[in-house]
Order: sequence, then C-alpha cells, then structure tokens
Amino acid sequence: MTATLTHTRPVRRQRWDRRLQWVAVHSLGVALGIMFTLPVVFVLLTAVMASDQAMSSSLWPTQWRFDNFVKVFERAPMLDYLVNSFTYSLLATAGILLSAIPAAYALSKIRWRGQNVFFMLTVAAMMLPPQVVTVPLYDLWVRLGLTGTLVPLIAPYFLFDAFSVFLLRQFFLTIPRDYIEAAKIDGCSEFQAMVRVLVPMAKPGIAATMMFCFLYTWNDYFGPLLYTGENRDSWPLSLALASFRGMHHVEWNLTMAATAVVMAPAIVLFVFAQKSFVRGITFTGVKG
Amino acid sequence: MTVPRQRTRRDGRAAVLYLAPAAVLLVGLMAYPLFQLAQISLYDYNQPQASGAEPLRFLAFANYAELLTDPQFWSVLLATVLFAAVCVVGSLLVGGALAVLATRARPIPRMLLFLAALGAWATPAMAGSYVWLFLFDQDLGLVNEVLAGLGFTGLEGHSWTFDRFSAFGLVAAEIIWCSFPFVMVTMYAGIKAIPSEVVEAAQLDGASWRRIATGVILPILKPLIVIATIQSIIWDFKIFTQIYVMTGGGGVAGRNLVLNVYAYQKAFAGEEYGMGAAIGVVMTVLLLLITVIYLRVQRKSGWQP
Repeated sequence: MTATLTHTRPVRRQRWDRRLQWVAVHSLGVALGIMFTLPVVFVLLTAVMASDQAMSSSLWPTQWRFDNFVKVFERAPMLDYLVNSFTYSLLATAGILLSAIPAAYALSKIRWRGQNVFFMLTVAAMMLPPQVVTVPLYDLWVRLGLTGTLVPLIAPYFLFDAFSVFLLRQFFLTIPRDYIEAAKIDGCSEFQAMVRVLVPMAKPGIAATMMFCFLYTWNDYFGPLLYTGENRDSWPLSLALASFRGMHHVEWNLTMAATAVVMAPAIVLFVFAQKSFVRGITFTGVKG
Repeated sequence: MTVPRQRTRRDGRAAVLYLAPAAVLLVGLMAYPLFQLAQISLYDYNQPQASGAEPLRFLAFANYAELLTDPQFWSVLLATVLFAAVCVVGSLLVGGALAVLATRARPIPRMLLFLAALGAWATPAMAGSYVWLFLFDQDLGLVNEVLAGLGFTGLEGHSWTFDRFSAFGLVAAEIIWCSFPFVMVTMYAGIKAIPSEVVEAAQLDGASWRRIATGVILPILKPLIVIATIQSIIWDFKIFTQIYVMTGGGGVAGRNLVLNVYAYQKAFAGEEYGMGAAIGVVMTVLLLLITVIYLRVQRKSGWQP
C-alpha cells in the first residue's frame, strides 16, 4: 500500500488502465461474479440495517445496527440451535469416517466378486430422493421411539452414506494399489494397510469428503423437519431459521442476521480446511 | 496383475466385513422402504384406509395406469427434465467461468469471490430461496429497482413469479447460485493442478489460446467435469425445497411442479398415498436408468478399478 502512495501520477494511471483493461477482457466473468456474489452481500448488509430500511430496496445501510446479532440471540435460543447443528454435523462427519472409509476401501482396493454390484447399489442409493423412502422410514423410527431426537438423522451416517462412499472411492482409486500390496507383503493385515498406508495418503480426499458431509448436514432441512419438527429442543439452525422467519417476517433485518449466523461457522471451517480441501479435489479429478 | 485364488477369497471376506454396515443400511433403510413403497403403490390407499376406517383395496397397476394416462404427469415429467437440464448446464457454465476468472484474478478479488461462493454454499436452501424471492420482489426487490433505474421502466412492479417460465427461471437461477460453488471450487482446483509446463509447451508449439483451452486443458479436466455433471444431475433432478418454497408448493394450478414436489403433493396434500407411492416408484426407475447410463459412461472412460 505504501508503495502505491509514492508512485507518481502517470504510473498510477497506467496501473488503473491495466486494471480497466483486465475488467474489459473478463467482462462476462466479472458480471457473473458480481451477480452471484450479490445475494451474499445482500444478506450481510441487510443483517446490519435498521428494520424499516431492511424492508426497502436499498442495498447500503444508512445506520449500521450491529446489535441486530445480539437481538437474534435474545429472540430465540440460538445457542441451543447452534449446539444441535454442531452435534448433527460433527457426529455425522465422524460417522462417515468410521463407515465410509472401510466401505470405500472395499470398493476400490480389494478385489472381490460382488464389487461392481455393490458399487452400483451405492450409486443408486445416492440417486434416490430422500422423499421417496420417507413414509416407511418415518414409521420405523416412530416404532423405535426415537423421533423428536437427532438420532434418526445421525445414526445412518455411522453405517453408510452413499455420496461419501462414492466420493472416497474415487479418491482411493487415484492411489496406486501397489502401495497396499507392498504393505501387505511387509506383513500388514488388510486393516493395517488401510489405516497406516491408504488413509494417510488419501488425507486431502478424506478432508474434502468430510467438508461435503458437514455442509450437507448443516444445510439439511428436510431431515430435521421430518424427525425433530415436533420437538423444538432438538432443532438445528436450518429449521430454527425457517421458524424464525415465520415469527419475525416483518423484521427482515433480523431474519438476515440469523441467516448470517447460520452461514458463518461453515465459512470459518472452510477457510481453515481450505488447503487440504482444494488439494483433495485435485487428487480425484486429474487422475480419476 | 494376476491374483492367486486363495488371496481373492480372503480379500473377499475382508470386503464383506467392511461393507456389512453399509449392507445393513442399504437393506434396512433403502431396500425395505422401497419394497413397501412399491407395495403401497399397488393399493387404493387414501386417508380413510390409512386411518383404518375403510379396508385396503388391491388395485394391481391401476394407479400406474391412471398416472401414465394423466396429461399432467407427462407435463410435469417434461418440465422436470428440462428444468434439471437448464440447472445442470447453468451450474457448469457459471461454475466453470468463475473458476477460470478465479485463476486469473488477483488474490484479493479471488478471495472475495471464494467467500461469496462459500456463503452461497453454506446457506440453507430454504434461506437462499427467501433471499432470492426478496431480491426479485415485485415492489421491494432490488432487481426491479435497478432495472427500472437502468431505463427498463416497463419492469416496475413486474412479478417474476407469476409467469410459468419466469418462475421456473427464477428458481433455476437460485439453484445455480447454490450449486455453482461446488463446480467452481472443483474446477479451480483442477485448473490449478495442471502443470504449467504442459501449457507452456503448447504455447511454444504456437498453439492459440483457444486451441490450448480445447486441446489441452479441457481433456485434463474431463474427469472432473464428469463428476460435477453427474452430481448436478443427481441434485437437480430431485430438487424439492426451492420449488416448494419459491413457487408456493408448485405454482398456480401446479404449473411449476417437478416430479418430487408432485409426488409429495399427491401423497401428503392430496392424501392419495397409493398414487404418491406410484410416482415415487416411477421416479426411482428413472433415476436407476440414469444410474445405468452413468455406470456405462464411467466404464467407457476406464474408471473401473
């Protein structure tokens, strides 16, 4: 920054020209970028507006009301909802570590007869819309007496999650089987080969899968609505947000502040996980 | 590589062990519900039957016959396919374009772009739908305001959700908004991973920029594009929340219905569980078809182990 200040006028002008030229060359991309950035900017700016301004078409706040966030936490037990959301997302993510890694290993690194059939089932399960199996499933959880809790949402992840298994399999395929074979020749069991050789090599892919799982469960609305709808105490944020809007729809600024509260943890998490995440995707893609 | 027979058998046992939990779930939480769904679809199963007031009546395939002769079903099916296609192509184009932009932007604009993408990704579908509805609101929306300011005065007070195509378009835009981040991040990582020597070598050989893009970069990115396409198809074919929220449950007279919402409306709002189940079965069959095509494509591109 200090360097820019000392520049003479023509140099600064030149730099300006170059920037304008860049924008002109990439105008379509820039327009798209602005268009698709706008909704998030809109949420964040409306979140700090006074309530009468929020219900207008203006974008820039005339008064900066950061206390809106405090109000959101006062109006609703947001902390409880946050805890529920984290419980759901973190446990589900832990669940796929236990269930999806061995399953993906079996589908990518072990040769056995049923492999293709099982992989096909996995892809089919991934395609199946959750609404299709809703009624019988709901019936099952009612009989187990577990509706109104987060258990029906979390438990399945400890057994299987089609998308995670699919994604991990794609990652594992990029790692040559020779490493596993070598480990086995050195006396490792199948399990040791997986935990000591494959998992460390596939870390970026595992991080990416965890990230997808976290975001999916964080935003999940249909599942929590179905299983915890009746019991406010187990509501995650996504559900609370919908109800918050229902109750305070006149106070659009507070609804947007609540939306920002929902977005924030996922963004923070991503910023931390970014490096391994981006690397993970690279792995599957290029060699996949 | 040839593997000794005994080895294969022992490996198979480990595989079965690792997949046992998955099998439990596939059978218990997928196959069994699907079986029940297929069963329900064969009955005249409405509210009176569900509450036990009237006995069940076995219809065999009458629900399917009724469904397949209903013109609304065909129009919903067509709308679903076209709508999903627009969303898939849109997400890929927007995600791809912004990924390219991100590789060519300076760090600060790039970071802003990524943060915005993440914000979109981390917004629950429900909330995203409300935000878009508000942005395109007839009277208070920013979009109408800006368009009117730019001289499109005819658009003042224009309702974007009234017309069938404009309502579908608005929902599609919202869906593209929440699914482009996945494509963008994936493509960005893919482009970044291309060794610069490859591109430089092509440049030295005198290849034009366009030639490099189509001849060098696209083939390297192909597996990623396939993953992103398949994921988008899976997501966009079973869209529920956005249509449900943004068009108020399927639009005026159901003209903005897609299959998933249609099944829900029949089963829960119309209390025709048998018919709802039949739609579910048809949808499952369609998705299985897509699965088979997908596996074919995958095998052809040599991804099988």
